[in-house]
Amino acid sequence: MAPNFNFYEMWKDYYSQYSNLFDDQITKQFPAQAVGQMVEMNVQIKKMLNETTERYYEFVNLPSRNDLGHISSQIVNIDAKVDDLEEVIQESKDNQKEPVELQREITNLKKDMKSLDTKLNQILTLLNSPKVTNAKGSV
Amino acid sequence: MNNLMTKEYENCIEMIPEEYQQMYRRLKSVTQVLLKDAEPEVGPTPKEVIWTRNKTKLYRYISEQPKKYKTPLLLIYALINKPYIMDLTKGGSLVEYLVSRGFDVYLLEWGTPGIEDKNMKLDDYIMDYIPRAVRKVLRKSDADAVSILGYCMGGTITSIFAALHPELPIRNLVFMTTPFDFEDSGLYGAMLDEQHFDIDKLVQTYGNIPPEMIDCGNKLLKPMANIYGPYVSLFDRAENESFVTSFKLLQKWLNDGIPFPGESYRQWIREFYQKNKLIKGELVIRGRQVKLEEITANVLNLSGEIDNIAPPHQVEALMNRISSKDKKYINLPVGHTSIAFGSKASKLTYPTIGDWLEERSN
Repeated sequence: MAPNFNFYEMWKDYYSQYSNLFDDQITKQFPAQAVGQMVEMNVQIKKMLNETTERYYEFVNLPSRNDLGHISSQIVNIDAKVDDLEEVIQESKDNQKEPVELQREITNLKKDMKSLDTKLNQILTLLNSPKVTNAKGSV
Repeated sequence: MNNLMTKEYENCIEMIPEEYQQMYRRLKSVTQVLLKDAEPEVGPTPKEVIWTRNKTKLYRYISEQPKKYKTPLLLIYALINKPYIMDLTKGGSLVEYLVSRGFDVYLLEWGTPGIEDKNMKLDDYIMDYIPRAVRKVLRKSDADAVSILGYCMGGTITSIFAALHPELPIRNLVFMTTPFDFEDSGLYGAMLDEQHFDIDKLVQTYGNIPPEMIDCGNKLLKPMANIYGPYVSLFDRAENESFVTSFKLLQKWLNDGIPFPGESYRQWIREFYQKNKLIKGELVIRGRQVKLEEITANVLNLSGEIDNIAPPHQVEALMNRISSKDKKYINLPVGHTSIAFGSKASKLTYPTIGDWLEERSN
């Protein structure tokens, strides 16, 4: 055996060349038909298992995965409805003004009304005042 | 007694040539990693759940960093695998990076579908879940616009969502290795050819498609490199601690797949891979035709030079279809996973996304 012989390095070189060659070959000629057949076979076995298991659970009066799935989907539907309601409430809350802001606006409105009322009173007082009539008359 | 024997054994090993000692050390480390070590912790960035519907959760990442940008960012991942690839570990996390730069980051996690979800269509995710999540994000952040980042298939559904919801204020869209044009889908095209692949029978029998089946399909793209390659690399670099840590994290993520809801899978394979309806403008989602030209948001579209799941030509095809005035396509020297995790992701992907968003988020 040579003094620097390293079995691992030799294997790695071989592996590296072989794996690249294999991957290149797969890329050039992908065995689509073979893969398709493997999937088909897998599906057939799974289908058979599903049917057997379903029948067994029915026979022993136990709920199957599909039965549990039906219940879960009803829960999911309720969850979605609750979420929709939550969103509607949130949107309506967003559209509502904050109580503090609303209070401020009411106060401002009251002030405006008060000042408008005062102005109207002043106008009415002036209109009804005899001095104004006399002054106009003298002119 | 056992310890004594091990010590004796170790003493014997010291007597063999150095290269064999090294092989022994590597073998010991590989055995430790594959058989003894606990799975690493993932998703380290703190987050809170702000909304749930069915199995879907909307998370907001919490940070002591002040939010620098007005526009929040929503991350949307694929229906395959789990989204923690974007927050894998401290120092190797896109989420952590964006949060530390002051972005208000949210993540939409689809959860693990059960048999009751086998009838969930892409229509449901695009028309019910994503719009609701976007509204929640806008409300929570008190923002008037949102940025969305879609990774892989998450980007494809994000693009459809954006095209169908012009009424929502989407300011920026970032796509990471997202396939849009399925005309030349390489080996996937051959594998999923209608001639040999009976999608109806598969969906009818399985209900939801098991993650192992999807993983197997991905590995068949380069069987030797994907199945044995990682273990050969592990043996080769078993004494490199940082490599071993990354290996464990990635293997955990790769083996942590979730079932693909049956009806969504049927749509994904038939409408996209077999008929390529999206790019042709023939895709119909809940009775509405998807026109990619309806997308007007700013777009950053990232592909990976060595990505064999969504190769660059499938990603770039979006650019000529959208109406966005501000759009940019970058082909990074990364792969499908290394765009989100690893040294290249930290050096290239994260700053590219961060810088682009920074200019468009205030």
